[in-house]
Amino acid sequence: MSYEMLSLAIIVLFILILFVIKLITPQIVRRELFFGVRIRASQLNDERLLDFKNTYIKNYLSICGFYTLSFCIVLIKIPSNSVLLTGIVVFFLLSTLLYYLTHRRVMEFKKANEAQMLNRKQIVMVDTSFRNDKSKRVLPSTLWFIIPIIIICLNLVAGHLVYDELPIILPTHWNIQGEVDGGVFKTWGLVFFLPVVQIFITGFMFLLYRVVGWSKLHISPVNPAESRERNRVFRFRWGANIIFLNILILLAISLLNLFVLQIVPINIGVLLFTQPLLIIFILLDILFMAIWTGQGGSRLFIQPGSSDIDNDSILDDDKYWKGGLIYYNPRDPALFVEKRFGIAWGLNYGNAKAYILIILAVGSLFLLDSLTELMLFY
Amino acid sequence: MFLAIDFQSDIPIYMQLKHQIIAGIARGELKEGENLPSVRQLAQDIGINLHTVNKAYTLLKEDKYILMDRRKGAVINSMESMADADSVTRLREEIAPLIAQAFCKGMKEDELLLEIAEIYRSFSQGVQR
Repeated sequence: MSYEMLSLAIIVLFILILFVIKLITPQIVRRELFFGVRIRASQLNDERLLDFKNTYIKNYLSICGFYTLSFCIVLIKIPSNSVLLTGIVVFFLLSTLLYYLTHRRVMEFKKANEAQMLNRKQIVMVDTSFRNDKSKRVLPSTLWFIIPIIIICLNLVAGHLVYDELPIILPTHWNIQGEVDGGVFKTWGLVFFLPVVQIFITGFMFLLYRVVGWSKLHISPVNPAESRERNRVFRFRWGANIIFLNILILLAISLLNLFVLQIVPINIGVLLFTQPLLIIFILLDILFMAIWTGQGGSRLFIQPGSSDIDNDSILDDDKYWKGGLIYYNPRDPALFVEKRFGIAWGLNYGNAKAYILIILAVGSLFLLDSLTELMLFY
Repeated sequence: MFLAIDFQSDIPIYMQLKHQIIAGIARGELKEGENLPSVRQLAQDIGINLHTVNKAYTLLKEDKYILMDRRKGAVINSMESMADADSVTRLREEIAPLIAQAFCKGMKEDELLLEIAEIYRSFSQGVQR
């Protein structure tokens, strides 16, 4: 099998996984947040809601399914980056539109059944010991980050040790046959370039890990103890998963680094597929996490505690969720919130810090980019 | 301990926080030396202004229910340290309007005492003093 065919196969697999992730989203979100709309526990078993969901899945399978198939076929016929990019953007627009139509129907359903809900309490529940309970931790220990740090240090030491023995010109580009057709002069910048990338990635993953702990608490007044435990396990697993993915990515980069430093001879074909396979693996990992745990731990089996349906008076914050997708609440100091319809967490776009964070993220990408140039070519 | 903040209530949120934390201490759900969340974290979890939480914590601190430790943040105080000389005077002031209400609504003295005893017992079950 040629390189082109294999890379095309990987891209098609990527698109199919995206299709599946969007397909299962209604199954992995919190039950009380139906298509981005907060529904009372007493109405959750209404058959009309089930109808909405079934219609959505039918529409998604036929419309998005047909689109995804034709997209893949076009891509195989005309494999270009612009086709791929446009195709993916259109896929997101189409699937979001299908979601939004159902979201609107659920909103109308809620409005029609709201009459008896006037003047009810608007409760937000929190737990004062959620984050400092030593026996039931919210996140795995920070000490786990010693493993990525050790990996980075080993890479740095390896670069330092072999520097003198490396040839003056290092191969950095290969043609399809695996023959060297490009190289750069050996510099300290080049030798330490990949460890610097590893440091950036670890910093980013550490931030994500912290965000999982910081993000806004979300406890149901109907069954607080059970809801709290779901929340905790949900965060713990994602925290552990972030550390796991961090280590995996660093190991993949280490493989590349060992090759560049000519410490271990590796088949160039193997190296070329490390990155796309890694991306596929990360997507599958996210899919697995979503199905295994669910948003807010909704798919966990937790021993049900005492629950009180009549106490269903959670704050109705629908008006801060634009389209049920984007949280915009300038009065809420929280920056990170659990997504209503999706996987993991999102930002509070009503908070100025959200934009600072986006600018910082883009800025650090530029920083890495200019650092790359500086290290490789000077 | 769970706090349930009602955004629809006439009682201001900082008062709800204060009352529930004191009740938590009385029930033994918040123990001496236990940490409360930081002002920022609690404000984010509830989705309210930082000043609101700060106000509740300041009031609790003034009444010696909590201590503000520079390193550990807000910590529940010991029951012995909570007791103070003028607490009875202040209790009189705060309880008088409620008893007046009960009187006007036709409640008898023993009925009122029964109610008070019941509430008191619901707290003292969790705490040895």
